[in-house]
Amino acid sequence: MAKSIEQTVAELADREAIRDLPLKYCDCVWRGDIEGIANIFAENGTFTVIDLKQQERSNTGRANLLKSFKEGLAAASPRPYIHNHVIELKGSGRATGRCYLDLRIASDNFKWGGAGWYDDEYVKVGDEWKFQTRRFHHAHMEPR
Amino acid sequence: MAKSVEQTVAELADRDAIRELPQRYCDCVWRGDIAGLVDLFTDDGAFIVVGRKRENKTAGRAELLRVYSTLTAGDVLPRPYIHNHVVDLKGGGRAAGRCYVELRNAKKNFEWTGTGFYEDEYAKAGDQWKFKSRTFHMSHGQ
Repeated sequence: MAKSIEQTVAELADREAIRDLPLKYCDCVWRGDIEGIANIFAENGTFTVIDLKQQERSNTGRANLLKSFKEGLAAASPRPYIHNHVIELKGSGRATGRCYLDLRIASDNFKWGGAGWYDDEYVKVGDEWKFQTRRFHHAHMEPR
Repeated sequence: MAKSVEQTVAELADRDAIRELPQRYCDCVWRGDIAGLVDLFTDDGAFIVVGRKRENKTAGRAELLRVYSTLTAGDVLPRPYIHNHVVDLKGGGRAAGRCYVELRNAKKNFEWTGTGFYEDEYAKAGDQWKFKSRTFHMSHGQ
């Protein structure tokens, strides 16, 4: 059955808002806006890093996210560029997506730092889309 | 004459779906999802690589599957990042576009390995947009 114009518009708006999340995330990382990063997660949101040995480190909840992002950004001065974002709307205020990272390091003359991808789950909280989970997979990280 | 709301929404939806195609293409390449990649093409879709001296054309589902399956066979395991996608709706379920790619090589410490651009033709098959053809122009390869 063909979608109504209202459904089409609602889906376009959802996709557009979701597309903004990884962009805002990168923007916040570049500007060192730790609170801004944490705010684009749901209150009980989780950020997980999966390294090349498939070992996982997770942080859940606003306070833990603030702490871990503060430490992570201070240690590495990352300058991310995000690409290839694909989105699947799941209905009922849920969606998933993937996007791919090209990383440079500001404290090292903006040398190329590595690559990886994010497996994301998005959730609509009120009328705003947020990250429910972000799982960052290292594909390659330059030795530092 | 000004477009109606329905026309504007339909065009926005078309643009959004078309914009996803090169993103999904890259996502499939990264994940090695060859069937998923070929599903982005129409049944008679074509992939053309334009080199300095010659042009290689592959068309049809079976041939695309065969050729894309060799993606991991050589010295380069491509990890593409797509940029600068422009879309031109032509009407009648047709569109054209161009987008630009940077490639890294997962078989060689993710070294930057080249850049180029795709000239795309898109076709609406049922309610889905697909690649009718992708023509890849290599601008620089290591």
